[in-house]
Amino acid sequence: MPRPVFHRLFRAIYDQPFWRRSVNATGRPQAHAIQKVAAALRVLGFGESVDRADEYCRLSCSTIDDATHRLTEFIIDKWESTYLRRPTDVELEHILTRNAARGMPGCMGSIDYTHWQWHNFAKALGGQYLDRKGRRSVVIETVCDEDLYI
Amino acid sequence: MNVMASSPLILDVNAGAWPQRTYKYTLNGRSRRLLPYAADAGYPRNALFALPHLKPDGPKLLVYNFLQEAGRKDTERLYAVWWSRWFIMKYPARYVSVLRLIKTAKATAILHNMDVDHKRHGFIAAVRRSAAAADGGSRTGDGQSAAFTKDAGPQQDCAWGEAVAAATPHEPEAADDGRGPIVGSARYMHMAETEAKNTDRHLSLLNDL
Repeated sequence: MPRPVFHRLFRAIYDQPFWRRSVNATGRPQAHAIQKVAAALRVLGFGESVDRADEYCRLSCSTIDDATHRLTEFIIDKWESTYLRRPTDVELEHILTRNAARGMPGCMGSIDYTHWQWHNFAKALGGQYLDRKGRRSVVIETVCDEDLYI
Repeated sequence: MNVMASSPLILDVNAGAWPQRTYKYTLNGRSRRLLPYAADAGYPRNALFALPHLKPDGPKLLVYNFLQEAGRKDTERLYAVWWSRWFIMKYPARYVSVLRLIKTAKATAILHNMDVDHKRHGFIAAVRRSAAAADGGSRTGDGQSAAFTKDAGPQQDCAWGEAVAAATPHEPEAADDGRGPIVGSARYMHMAETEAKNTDRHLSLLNDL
């Protein structure tokens, strides 16, 4: 994750209700926002378990789990309409131009799907999500263009 | 496919909402409005997807397959890049609820897009804007001059064009749009796209290959 992107995320998030540094009933300051953001991003970015970063960030594992959940929700609320949307007309125009130059005129992008294996599935749902290898997984379907822009 | 039945993109396409009908591209003098996606052979032969030829015989089909693979490789590359940026996508998911899985995948995808945007210094958006302005919407395909006799498909465009002519897609037609012309139209589209390999540019590309 590039540093400016992190700064942008952090600046957007650091005064939000869950994230800002609060003072508890005994007058002691609670965890700083950067602790929670860093811990949540470690979970997302390194795929760690939630209690892996507890000594590094000095947070409990339930706090890190909560922070991860809230971070994903915050990102989706704030940036889904900007960064995870269908291409606008102008962008689509450009995608078509580039794909025509690559020899696929009229092609909107490439589509594919993959299986994300599911470790802690619920038994009740397990049968619905069987993949062809007999494991439980959730299918992710993405479309992207030449810049790997989803 | 079950996946197709529940994918939000495909649902939008089935409802006639997604590929806008305002775009036309021309292949061999025949224009159509349904923009395809490059997909691999796991997808059904709908008009929405540009699938590879299963048994390419002859240079034209081979070149088509090469180009199509090059386009298709984007998503394969995306999975590598995305998962190396966000390792949580790489490991078996630990969350219990599907909703949370979806949220995680979405959030990492958004962060990935922000990364890409940043790496290009906002280049993507700027380039898209300028290229579209320079293009001016007068884009035609390159297969205009090719004389071909292979066309055994229907003479009309695919259903996307018909729906435009109708201009008021009522419900059954709109639901029919994405999937209706399955075999004939897809094959027709394949043949037309393969015919586009007839041009000098593609032959020179073949020589390069």
